[in-house]
Amino acid sequence: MKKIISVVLVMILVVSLAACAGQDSAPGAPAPGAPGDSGAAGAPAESGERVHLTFWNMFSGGDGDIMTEMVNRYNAGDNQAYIEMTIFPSEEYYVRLITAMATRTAPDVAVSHITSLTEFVTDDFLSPLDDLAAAAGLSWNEFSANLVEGVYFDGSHFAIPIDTHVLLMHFNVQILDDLGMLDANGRPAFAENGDDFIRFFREVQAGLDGDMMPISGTSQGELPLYLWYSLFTQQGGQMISADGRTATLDTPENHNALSFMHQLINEDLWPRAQASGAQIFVAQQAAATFNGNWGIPMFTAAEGLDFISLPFPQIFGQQQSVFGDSHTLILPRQSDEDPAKQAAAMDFMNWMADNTILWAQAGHVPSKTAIVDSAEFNALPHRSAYAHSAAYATFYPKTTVITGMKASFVRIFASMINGEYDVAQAQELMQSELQRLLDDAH
Amino acid sequence: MKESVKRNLTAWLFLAPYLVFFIAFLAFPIFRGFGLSFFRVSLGRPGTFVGFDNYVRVLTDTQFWLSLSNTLLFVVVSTPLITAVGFTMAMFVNSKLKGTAIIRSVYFAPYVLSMAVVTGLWIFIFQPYLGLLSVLTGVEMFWLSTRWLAWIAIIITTTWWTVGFNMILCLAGLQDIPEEVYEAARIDGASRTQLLFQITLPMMRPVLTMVFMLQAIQSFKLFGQTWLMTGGGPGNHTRTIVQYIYQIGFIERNMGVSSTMSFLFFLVVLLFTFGQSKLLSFTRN
Amino acid sequence: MDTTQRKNISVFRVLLYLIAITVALLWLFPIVWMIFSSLKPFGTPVAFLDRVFSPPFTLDNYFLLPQRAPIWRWTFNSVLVAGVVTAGVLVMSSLAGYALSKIKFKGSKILFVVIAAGLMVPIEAIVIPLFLTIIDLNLLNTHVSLIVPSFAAPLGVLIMKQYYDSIPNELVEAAAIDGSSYFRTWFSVCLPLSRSALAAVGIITFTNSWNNFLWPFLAAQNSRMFTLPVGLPVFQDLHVEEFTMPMTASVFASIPALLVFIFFQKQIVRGIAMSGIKG
Repeated sequence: MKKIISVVLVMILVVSLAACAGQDSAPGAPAPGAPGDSGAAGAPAESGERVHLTFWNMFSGGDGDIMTEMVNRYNAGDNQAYIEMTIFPSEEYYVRLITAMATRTAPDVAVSHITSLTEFVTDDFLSPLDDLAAAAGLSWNEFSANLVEGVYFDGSHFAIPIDTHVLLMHFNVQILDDLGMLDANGRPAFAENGDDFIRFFREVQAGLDGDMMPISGTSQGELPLYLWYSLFTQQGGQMISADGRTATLDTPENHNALSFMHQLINEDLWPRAQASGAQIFVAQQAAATFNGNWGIPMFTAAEGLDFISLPFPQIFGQQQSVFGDSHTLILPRQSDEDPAKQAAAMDFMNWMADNTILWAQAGHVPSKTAIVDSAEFNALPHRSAYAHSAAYATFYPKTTVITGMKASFVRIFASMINGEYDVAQAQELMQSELQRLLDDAH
Repeated sequence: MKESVKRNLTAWLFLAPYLVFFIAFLAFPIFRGFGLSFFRVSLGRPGTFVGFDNYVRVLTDTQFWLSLSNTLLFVVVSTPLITAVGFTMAMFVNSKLKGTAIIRSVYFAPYVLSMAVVTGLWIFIFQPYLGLLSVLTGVEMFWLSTRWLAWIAIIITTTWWTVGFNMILCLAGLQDIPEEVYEAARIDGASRTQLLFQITLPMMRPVLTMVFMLQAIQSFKLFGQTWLMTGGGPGNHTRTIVQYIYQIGFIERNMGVSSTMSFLFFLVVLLFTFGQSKLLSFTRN
Repeated sequence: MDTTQRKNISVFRVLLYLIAITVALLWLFPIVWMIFSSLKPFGTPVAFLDRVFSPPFTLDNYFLLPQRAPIWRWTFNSVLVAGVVTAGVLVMSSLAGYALSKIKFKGSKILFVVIAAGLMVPIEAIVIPLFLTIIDLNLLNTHVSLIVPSFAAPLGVLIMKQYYDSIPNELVEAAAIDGSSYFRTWFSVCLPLSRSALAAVGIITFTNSWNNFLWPFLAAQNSRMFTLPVGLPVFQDLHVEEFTMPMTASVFASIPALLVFIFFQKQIVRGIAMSGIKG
């Protein structure tokens, strides 16, 4: 009898430990920027007065550090909310966020790319922000026009943008100068078109040592996608038909974009199998690199690296365009909507939008035009050279299949880059996969 | 209370805890999954009945067949390989040579490691430029991003990780063979090869069959190694059916189609298991 | 045996030894390399073996690690889940196996067939409905969700039933004559006898649960709920350029398993062998 009791007691103990541990306890976790963990530094004295909010994002590396710093500042200031932040690796972020929103167990505030909003709004995952914004005194026309358009659906605004981020090219001034390839202004001496671009980098290649490369750029992940999209949209290319049901990637524009990338790879101007183009650039093993504005903090911190960051060149001339996206803050719907929490969330989002000068340290272009035009922003190195490209950046089209599209295209580009597929195969696959996604969605 | 009633009641009481979970988390999901396969449904979206549309969609999807064939390829190659290697190791460990106990431990040790540790290690070994093989040999082989090399890498990793388990099973079987049988044969002048083919293998048949089948089922479930080491790449060439099910269900949020694929996958495993056991019992006669 | 045969055997033996030992060394190498790498200072290029296997060595990474990832949390989750799963499975499968084996009740045969059929169902084929069920029960992202699907596994029940089958019925009948209830007979007579089968079930269940990847990957929604197999790759992903830290994390994650292995090797081996033969 005693034995039975003790066995049962032990089981009860274990199960209740499990149940307790299952509750999310208060913040108080290790160092900022730790993967998937609370970034908030220590609880302020009167956190009890504030509304406790959870906040998810996918910022790693430099972005993560700066966001952590911003959240800490918000928490330390005299504000309505107290933010507990969790960071996820970007590959998993949307799957986790979507699952949470679909089950109404989402965080109070989250980051979403502006291009993912269509899907979320269509599925009714987000609360519209107009009333809250009005109450908080936020005015939409303070933001860049293309951003406002991106968050506007069916008469309401569903997100607050905090930046535009774009693909750029960064150049190692030292290396290019030694090769005599800079012009009088200290910029790389090529005209903005495909032929001259290739000519320029062939010359660079000829002048470099064996283990250095003309252009570095990560061969997997989303970078090739950004590159491709820039090239594609510079020709006026559209991914999807006007009615949103047909993929339009079986076009000459796509062929040209892919061929250009293919040429860069084949001539070893942009060598394949690079795990991290940024690291190679930092190590000064590359004359230039494909990277976005988010690489700038890393490059700035690199010792001895003398570089400039310029808008991504117009390889094709039909339309001024470059890949761009925007990080926005969203208010996921909850099973029990709490007006106090929503107001506090808006307080946080508003504060973030106003303080994007901090976020600009990550290289991003702030979402409010006043801040972009400010002296403080333009005093930051390199910004004035590329910030204007945010205005002509092209986002992905407004469609619900963005998440699936990215996952699929990332795979296709990785294969094209390592030689598995040729241009025709890659194009065919892009078309068929996108069509499949669109078919499944309707 | 009548004796038989009491007996039945007690039996069901004994079984109740297990059965609750069995029904809720194994039996019911099978049926629910089957049901889902006839709907177009997503987390957070209402479901609509679509009849056999999902089945048509899946059966005409080249990516589905590709993923399935990737899995089958792995099953067909890895199962005999890992079984044979396990058996060979068991044979050696079973010999009365000194030090075999230590060697047995070594061969088995990787099995206790978690998959993340194993894949993390072997990624370091296989990756280009800064990986161990790359540095040691000075030759740049893009193991994880070249189609057939990637499979070889996955197979090597999986073998290293799990063969110890098969070895132990085979060892148990070997130890069940009475020494006298070997002695008698040796006295009759049997050579080592004859001993192997005429005594060991026949007597090990049931054990080897079981090891083979267990390994096959394990191989069907391949997900972690390919997900972590190659991400299903290059292209889609190491994407297994389980990964494709995950991609369609969770990334593309098409749970109806994903359920259809899951059901078909389940049928394939069933067919394979039955077919295998029929084949093996057939060859026995 | 004449001398030629004896010589052949010796040569054969030596060859066999050499091959087996070479293989064993190759087999052990990755683990040894992992351990040594974890003891190197942060930033050491671990592909350069001469640097890995020579001083300096330091335990610094082990102290840095908890600051960079909630590794204690992940370990706790893994231990908790595997522990509760194992405890639960041991209790439930021995109860169920006993009933199937030793109690003559209506439907016993059919039930056995149904449960055995469950062996054929890989969890990978039911993750979607399983996931939806967990959501319906409001259990998403809880430890409970990580634990309960494992309770449905038929293997434990089948092993225990097989084992109980091998206990003579006379024993059970004798206890019944003495007025013992079914429960008491199970608890006091048969359970103690089935120690080795329980060990087998326990070890297999614990190992499977510890190494489980797919289900925790799907069911855990944020970092606090990750188990080690799920959290580790996340960590490794964020440390692509540095190698010693991921090695440290790997060693850390392996310590419990390696310890269990070192101390309980005999039982583990015996347990697996048993399950193989019985199952």
